[in-house]
Amino acid sequence: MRVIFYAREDYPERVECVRAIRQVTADLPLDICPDQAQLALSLPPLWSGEAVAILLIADPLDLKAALLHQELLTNLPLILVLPDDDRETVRTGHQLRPRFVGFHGNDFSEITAVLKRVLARFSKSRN
Amino acid sequence: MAKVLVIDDDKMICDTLQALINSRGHETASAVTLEEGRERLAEVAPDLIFLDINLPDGSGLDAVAELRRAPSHPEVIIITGEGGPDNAALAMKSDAWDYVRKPLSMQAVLLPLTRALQYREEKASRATLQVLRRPEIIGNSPEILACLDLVAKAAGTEASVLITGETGTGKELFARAIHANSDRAEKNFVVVDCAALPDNLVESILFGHEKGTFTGAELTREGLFHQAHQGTLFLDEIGELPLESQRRLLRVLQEQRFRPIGSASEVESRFRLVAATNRDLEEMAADGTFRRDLLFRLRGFTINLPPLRQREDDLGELTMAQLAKLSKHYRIPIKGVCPGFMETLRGYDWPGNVRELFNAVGSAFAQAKDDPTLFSMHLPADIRASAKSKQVRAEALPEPPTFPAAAAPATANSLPPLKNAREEALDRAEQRYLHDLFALTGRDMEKACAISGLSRSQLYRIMQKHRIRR
Repeated sequence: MRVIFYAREDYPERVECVRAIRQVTADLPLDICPDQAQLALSLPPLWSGEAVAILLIADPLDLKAALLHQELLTNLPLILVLPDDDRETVRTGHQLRPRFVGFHGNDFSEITAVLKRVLARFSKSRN
Repeated sequence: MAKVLVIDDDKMICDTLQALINSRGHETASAVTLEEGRERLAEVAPDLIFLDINLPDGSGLDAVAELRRAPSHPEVIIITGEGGPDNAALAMKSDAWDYVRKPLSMQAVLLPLTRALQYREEKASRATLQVLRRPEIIGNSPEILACLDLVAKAAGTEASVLITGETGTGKELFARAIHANSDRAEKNFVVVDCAALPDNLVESILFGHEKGTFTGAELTREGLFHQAHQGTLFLDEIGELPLESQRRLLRVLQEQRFRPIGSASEVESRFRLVAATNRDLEEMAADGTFRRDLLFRLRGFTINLPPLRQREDDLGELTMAQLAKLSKHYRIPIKGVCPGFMETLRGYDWPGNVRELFNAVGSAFAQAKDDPTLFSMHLPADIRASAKSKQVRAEALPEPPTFPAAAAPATANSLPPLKNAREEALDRAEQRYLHDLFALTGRDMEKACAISGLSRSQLYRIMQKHRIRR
C-alpha cells in the first residue's frame, strides 16, 4: 500500500499538507507529485488497487487535467480537495468518483482524519 | 399472479379449468363463444388464453393471430377434442404456445400453463432490461438479470434503495445504474463513504457548516446533502454511520430540509437516497446499533447482489470485458484465453468477488506481456493453488450414484413397494447432494452448513449414514 499525493507546486499550503499527511502515513511510501505528468506516472495500473490518492486541485483547469486520469483514479480510494464549492466544480469533481470531497480553505484535519480511516480499513482487510 | 382467459363452448370445461387455475393463485375469466371471448379479452387483458378449436361462431385456430395481437399480447394454448396431427401442426403454425387434447388431465393443463407464464415473465424482464443503461454492469446470468430488473423498477420511482452484498460485488455500480436510469440522471451522484468519515466530522461533512463554527472551519461550506440536492445521495457502508448521525439522517429524509452546523436557517435538499452495506442491518437493529426506523425507511427497494461464486455463468463475460478494457487502455491487441485459464477461474471461490477477479485477470494480463494468449500459469499462484486443491478434493469424492436407466418396462416382480422405492430415491438424492455440496465447498464444513442449511451435527449424521468421511 502506498499513498499518492498530488498538488501543483504553486498550491498554497502544499508543504503544510504534506507534513500533515506524513504524520498519518507513518512508514508507508508516499509519492509526491508536483504536476499532472508525475501523477500519471505514479498511478498504479488498472489491476492494482494498492494505493490511496489525495488530489489537491488548484483551479478548474487543474481539475479538467485530472479528468484525463479518470479511469485510473476511479479504481482507487480517492480523497479530493476542490478549490471552491461552485456548482460546476463540484459536479466535475464527482466525476472522479472520490470517496471524500473536501474544499480548499479548511485546515487539513479533515483530510488526515479521512486518510487515517481509509488506511486503517485497508490494513484490516489485508489481515 | 397471472390473468388467464378460458374460451370453450363447454361451460363445464370452463368451470373446471378456472377452478384448477384459480387454485394456483391466478385470476381467471371465461367465455363460451369467440365473440364473448373478444369482449373478455378487452376487459381482462389476459397473459394467457386457453382456446377451444370448435366454437359456435368460428374456429379457434383462425382466431389465434387476432387474439395474440391484443394489447396484452397473450400466449394461446389450444384445447380440442379432435386431436389429429393436422390440428396439432396447424395450432403450432398459428403461433399458439401449445396444444392440449381433451379429456384434459391436471398435468396436461398445468405444465404448459407454468411454462408459458414463465416464458412470458422472462420475456417481460428482458424487455425491461433492453432499455436499461448498464454500461459498467457485466453479465447476463439469471441472478444478475433479476438484480437489474429491480434496478429498472427502482429507477422509475423515488423510493429509497438498500443494496446489500459482499465486498467487491459492485454495489456502487448498481447505485450508479439506478441514478443513471432515473429522472435525476442529469444531477449529481454524490458518494458518501460512511466508513471513511471520522465520527467527529460526520455531521459537518454531511450538513455543511458556517465559517468559524469550530476550529478548522475557516470558510462557510455546503455539505454533501446540499451537493446531492435534486440528485442521488449514495451512502456506502451505511452500517458504519454513528447512531446520532442516523437519527439526524432520518429527520432529513422525512423533512427534506436540514440546518447546516452554526446556521440560523434551514436548507432544502430533495435527494434520492441509495444506501449500501455488506453488514446485516437487521441484526444490527436487533443489537441496537442501527436504527430500525431508518432501516424501514431505507428498504423501499432491497437489492441483494449475489457473490461471484453464485453467478459462475458470468465468469467468461466478466473476464473478456476486463481484458478488452485493459487492451483498450494500454493500446495493445486483445489477448485470447486458453480453456485451462477459464477452468482455473471457475475452480476458485472468489471471496473478493468481481474486484478480485478483475485484479487477477489484470495481473495475468501483465504477466503475459507480449504473449497473445493467457494461460493458467499467468494467474497469481495463490489462485491457481486454491483452484487446483479444490479440484483434487472434488476428484477424490466417490462418483455420484446415477438413476437406473428406465430401459426395461416395470413388471410386477421388478417393481419394489413404494416405501422401499421412496427410501432408495431419497438415499440417492442425499448422496448426490453431498457430492455436489462438497465439490462446491471443497469440503469446508462451515460453508457446507451455510449452503445446505444443516447444522454441523445434522450434516455429520447424513455423512455417516452414507459412509462419507470428512
